[in-house]
Amino acid sequence: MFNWKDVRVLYVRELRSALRERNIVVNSILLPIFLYPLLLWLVYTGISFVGGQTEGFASRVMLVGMPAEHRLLEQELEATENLQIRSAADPAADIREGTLDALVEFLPPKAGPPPLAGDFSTKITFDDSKDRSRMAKERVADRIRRYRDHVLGERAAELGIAPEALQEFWVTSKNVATGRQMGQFILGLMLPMFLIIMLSVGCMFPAIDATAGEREKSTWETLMTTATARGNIVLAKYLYVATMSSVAGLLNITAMVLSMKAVLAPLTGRSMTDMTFRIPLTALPLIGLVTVLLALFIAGGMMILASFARTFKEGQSMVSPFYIATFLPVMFLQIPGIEFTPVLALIPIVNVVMVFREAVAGVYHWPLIAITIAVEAACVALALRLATAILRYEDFMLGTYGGNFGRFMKQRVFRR
Amino acid sequence: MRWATIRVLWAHELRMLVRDRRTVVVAIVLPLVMMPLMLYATREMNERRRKGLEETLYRYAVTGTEAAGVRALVAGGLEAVAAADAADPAIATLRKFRCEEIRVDDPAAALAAKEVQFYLEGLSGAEADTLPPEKEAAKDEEDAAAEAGPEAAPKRESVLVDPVRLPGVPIVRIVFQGDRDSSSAGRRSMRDLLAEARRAGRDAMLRERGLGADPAAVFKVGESSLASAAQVTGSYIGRFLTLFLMMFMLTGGSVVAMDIIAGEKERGSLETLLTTAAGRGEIVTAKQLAILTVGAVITVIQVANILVYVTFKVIPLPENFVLEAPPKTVVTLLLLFLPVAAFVACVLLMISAYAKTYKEAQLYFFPVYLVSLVPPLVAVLPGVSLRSIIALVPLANVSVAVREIMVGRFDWPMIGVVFVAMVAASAWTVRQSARMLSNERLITSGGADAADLAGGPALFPRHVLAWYGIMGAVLFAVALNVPQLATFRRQLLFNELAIFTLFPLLMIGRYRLNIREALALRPVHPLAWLAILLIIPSAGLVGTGVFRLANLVIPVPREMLEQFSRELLPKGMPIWELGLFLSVLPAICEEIAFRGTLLHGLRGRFRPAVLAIVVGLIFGLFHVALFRIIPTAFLGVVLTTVALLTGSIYPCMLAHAGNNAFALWLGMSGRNTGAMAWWVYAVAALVLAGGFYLLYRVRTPYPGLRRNASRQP
Amino acid sequence: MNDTVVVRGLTKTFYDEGRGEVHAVQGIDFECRAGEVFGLLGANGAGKTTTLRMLSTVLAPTAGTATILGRDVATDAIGVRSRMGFYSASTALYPRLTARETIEFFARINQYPADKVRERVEFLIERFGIAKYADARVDKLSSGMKQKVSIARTVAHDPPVLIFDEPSVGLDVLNALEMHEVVREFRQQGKTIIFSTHIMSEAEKLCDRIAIIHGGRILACDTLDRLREATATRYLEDIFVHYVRGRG
Repeated sequence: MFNWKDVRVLYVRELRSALRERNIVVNSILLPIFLYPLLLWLVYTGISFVGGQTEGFASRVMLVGMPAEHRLLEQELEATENLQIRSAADPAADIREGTLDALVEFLPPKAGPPPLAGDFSTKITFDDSKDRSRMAKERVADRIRRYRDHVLGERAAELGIAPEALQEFWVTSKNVATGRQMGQFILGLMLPMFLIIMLSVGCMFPAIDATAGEREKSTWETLMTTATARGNIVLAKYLYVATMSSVAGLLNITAMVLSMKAVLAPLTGRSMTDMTFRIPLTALPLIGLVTVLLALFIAGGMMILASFARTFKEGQSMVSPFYIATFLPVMFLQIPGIEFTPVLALIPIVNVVMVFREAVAGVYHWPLIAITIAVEAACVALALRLATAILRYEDFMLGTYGGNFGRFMKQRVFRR
Repeated sequence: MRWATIRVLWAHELRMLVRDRRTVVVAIVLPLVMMPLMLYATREMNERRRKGLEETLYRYAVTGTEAAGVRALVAGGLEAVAAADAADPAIATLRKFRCEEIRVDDPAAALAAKEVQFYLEGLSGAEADTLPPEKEAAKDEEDAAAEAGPEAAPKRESVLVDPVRLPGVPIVRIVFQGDRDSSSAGRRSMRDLLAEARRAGRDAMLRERGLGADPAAVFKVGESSLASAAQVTGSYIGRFLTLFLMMFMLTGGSVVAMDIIAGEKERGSLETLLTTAAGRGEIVTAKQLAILTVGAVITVIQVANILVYVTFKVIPLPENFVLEAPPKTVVTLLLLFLPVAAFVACVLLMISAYAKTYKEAQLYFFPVYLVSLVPPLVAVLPGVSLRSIIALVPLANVSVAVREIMVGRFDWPMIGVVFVAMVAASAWTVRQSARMLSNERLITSGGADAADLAGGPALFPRHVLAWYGIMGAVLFAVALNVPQLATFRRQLLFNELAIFTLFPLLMIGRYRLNIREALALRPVHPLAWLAILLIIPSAGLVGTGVFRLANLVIPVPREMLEQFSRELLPKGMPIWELGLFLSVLPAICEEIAFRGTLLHGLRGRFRPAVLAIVVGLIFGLFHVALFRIIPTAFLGVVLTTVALLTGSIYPCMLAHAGNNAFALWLGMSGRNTGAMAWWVYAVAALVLAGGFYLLYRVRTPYPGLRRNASRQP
Repeated sequence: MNDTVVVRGLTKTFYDEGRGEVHAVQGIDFECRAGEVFGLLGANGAGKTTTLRMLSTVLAPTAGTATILGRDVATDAIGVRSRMGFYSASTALYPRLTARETIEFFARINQYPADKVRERVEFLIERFGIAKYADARVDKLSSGMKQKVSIARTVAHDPPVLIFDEPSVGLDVLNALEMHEVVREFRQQGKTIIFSTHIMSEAEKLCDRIAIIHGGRILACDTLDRLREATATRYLEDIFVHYVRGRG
């Protein structure tokens, strides 16, 4: 059916041209590899910058009506590193101005005898529209709550309650999931989304370049006059586009797995040694296979749509809806705990995401995997068939067809 | 400037765009359709997750010597929650927590088999005392403290410290599986329930023993915000408003911008336009207006889109969300956004003018888009005030001003400064984009020159920055991810040898460069060495002064500085090794990379003064950590200037080695250059100037530098 | 008669949504021999390009037959294309390949014996004087250089039949002359050349026989001398007008 020698010659030519095209090299190779180290540097720099900023913030606070019995609280507040006790003639105005962060008023308790000797209530006046003011309120409130606990502890001691009895029990947690399992959980949530984005990004330029781009460069007719069947040309282009897409996707997975630890560590506060981000070796062949199948599916869709375009720009417009549509199913799947069911196995893209997620966690539902592979392979075969059928129409080959995919289906396919 | 001509051109651009139906559909219709879908998907997803977790009946097991006590605690917690004030949001959430104990023989196995979401292990006080001090033992209490609010660090020995477990106190350990969402959620709810149980238990104990008060009612903390709901809403929206508007303008404007010059160049119609009676300035103005119009229209459509979704509650709003937009606010915002829009339009036009083809323009758009979004992010930072140097930084100044205006604060003098600064920035970009259209090299598309045909050394200047970009990415990616390079020595060796030496050699081979020229291996006037001896210590001191100045603007976290010092001067390393790794090796390898191939590649692109700054800056960026960039860039500028004046890399190597050795000596002898008086830095600056003056007098200029203003085509 | 190209009743009808049926070529007949330059002369829209596209198998004939070296264009398209080289001013080269890579690609894809490809490529590079920029990318070449590479890739697989569709469009005088030299050389090598043009002087200089095509039909097909006799005019322009206006 296909002349594989010709297909190889055509495929090599496509790849060679592609690797010299800056846009393709950037989108299919460089971006997947270097985006994450760059993101990492940005995050690291951003966090250290913000850290430097906020570390220096002392909350400027005014105290009014501090009860004499609570000298300790006053001393604690004055001694606190990030609190500066100030006074102001018009504290409300200063808070609005931003020159004072909070006013702390110590008031007698509400009407009636105080529940505890020396009890007071506090009113912290602040400006909720200012971060510094809000931070000041929380700092002061936190000190007062600790003070309350301290006072209650002292009262308990006076009442003969041992501190241990007051503490009653201590709560701890233990996460028995291994670092590897935690890493796999996070990878399973994040990787599929990024994989699909990268497969689509890596695919888009080559798909448009191989179809609309050829027309724009007027090399399409040159190619049509060569001594090889149309089917070989279509197959070679298809394989080339799918290759670029797969390369982008696989490079991205690798880069993400390698840099995930460093990216997440400053954000989650966990030490880097806690989690291990590694995909089980046994899962690699399956992940590779489904990635390639998905790349073939996306390549097929984009090429079919782009083949209706006469210029690169037109091609982009035609492919964009499909490009965005590939992300949508994955957005719905971002809930952890979704079960992989036969129904999901029948939906392209969704099924691959589920296989991927489970494979990362070392779980294999073989019947569902088989359904997934069958569905994806069927989609790929359909795309190839459709592409070859489209190119049978002469106005397509000459690039004079002025419609789009919808119009084509209406006129040429459904009319029959 | 003939406005009639501009109007004709502008209308022509818009007409062409409107007839490109596909582009219009993709730019307008597609986002209108996609956005609700995505928002709906996100909302659905969050809702489902929340509901799923809420409606789950959490199965748990209880084990351990204190199992009975644990069961009583759980029961007590449930009672306390039922009796507590439902108005408290934390209590309302806990009331939805449904749990059921399952009796199992092996709770750990049951957890692994998903028969239970978590289990509780009760350890007696004695058992708990024998446990090793796990990090995790204190974790929950730390977590709770962290959630309570940012802790203010005590200056002295404080009594208000974090609670610790007292000896003899039993432990309730919640064992869960962190890689399962329901297990993590169950653990959080159980922890809160137990906290409530303990609070209730403590309060009951106190009351029983005679505390004549409800413990929950003492020392109550109340709060009162002076800001109205509208101001609070304004502060949230205000910090992101400029960022979002810039995103819409950039993506909206790019619809027409990428094609407006680059596409026309490709099609050959730009040359046709340039042969008409319309002036270059008029053409540029018309194109800018076209980009501005399209960008503004798309922005308005997107904003209206969002408002529609807000009205129909597709986008859920937080409670107390009150948006007020009095005329004064709206007019001021519009006035500030106009120059921003003009600036964005000009930047897009410049991309299109610089690129040779539509595809190339798109390639440049992405990084420019990312970089442009950074200045508006300044408004997100706490504590950045309009009354600071920020008022002069384009885009950042507008975002901070908008944040303050949205809160109702109109600092008119500073708003005026911001407006003028932004208008000046826009005017500059307008001028630059007009000049680009006069540059013949940029007007005509394609066209090969001898460099392209011949390849080799002539191509190197065009590719040099890309090579250094790749070097930077490799340095960063490898350093952070390869565990074998985790030690200081190995990482330094890798950076110096594999990156700073190997890459330049690769470049020399690939582009067939003459190694002597590429690495500036030239002899030097004898007196130049004397100048270097003056420069070494003075540059080091001045560099410290620069660092101190920089620290005022970009304060560095103390912890980071300390960590860096520890890494840089690892204890126990012999002096000769320190000297080799910190002085000699960087001096040789980094000079090869920066004052060698990089300087050689960029020598014709910039004027000498700018060249020194560019090479110095790149040198600084390779030192990665934010706080090192500025002082290292300063050193880089000094070393590059030495190279430009001597035409040789050898003095730079000596200066670099000397500088590092000097810093090392100061560090090891405990001298704190960061605490010196300002006059010390001033004297050092004079000595530095003297050194450069001497170099200038005996100069052998670096060959092949760009001399006059016009660039070689 | 060693007719390498035989066309009988070749017809092409397009269906255009706006205009309905368009009869681009209406039953034309001609034949070409080895070692001959056969000219197709006509105005824009006469049907020259459509005819040549049918011969090169890009378009399928609506009716009639065309054979190249005994192979039918409709039933043995690949066999036809492997024996034919197609050159058009509108068919471009791949911008990101080098000149050498371009020629090699077309030699291989057109079934030239794989073990002889390298030798063939070097021969063509030498013959067309493109050694200086053989390793430069096509998008960096001037139009004259691109023309040479285009011709080289057309004959990369040494086809016996060559089709040139308006090859001089956009060329300057010197490059056009060079094109003519090359065409003559191919004729001397015994190749069959079908040459379409609307430039009268070019047809006069190069073609052994000329077919005047107008409105999808061949109005006359003979040597220049016989056409002069038949129309009693000297210049091809007058001959052309005689047939076209006389017909109209």
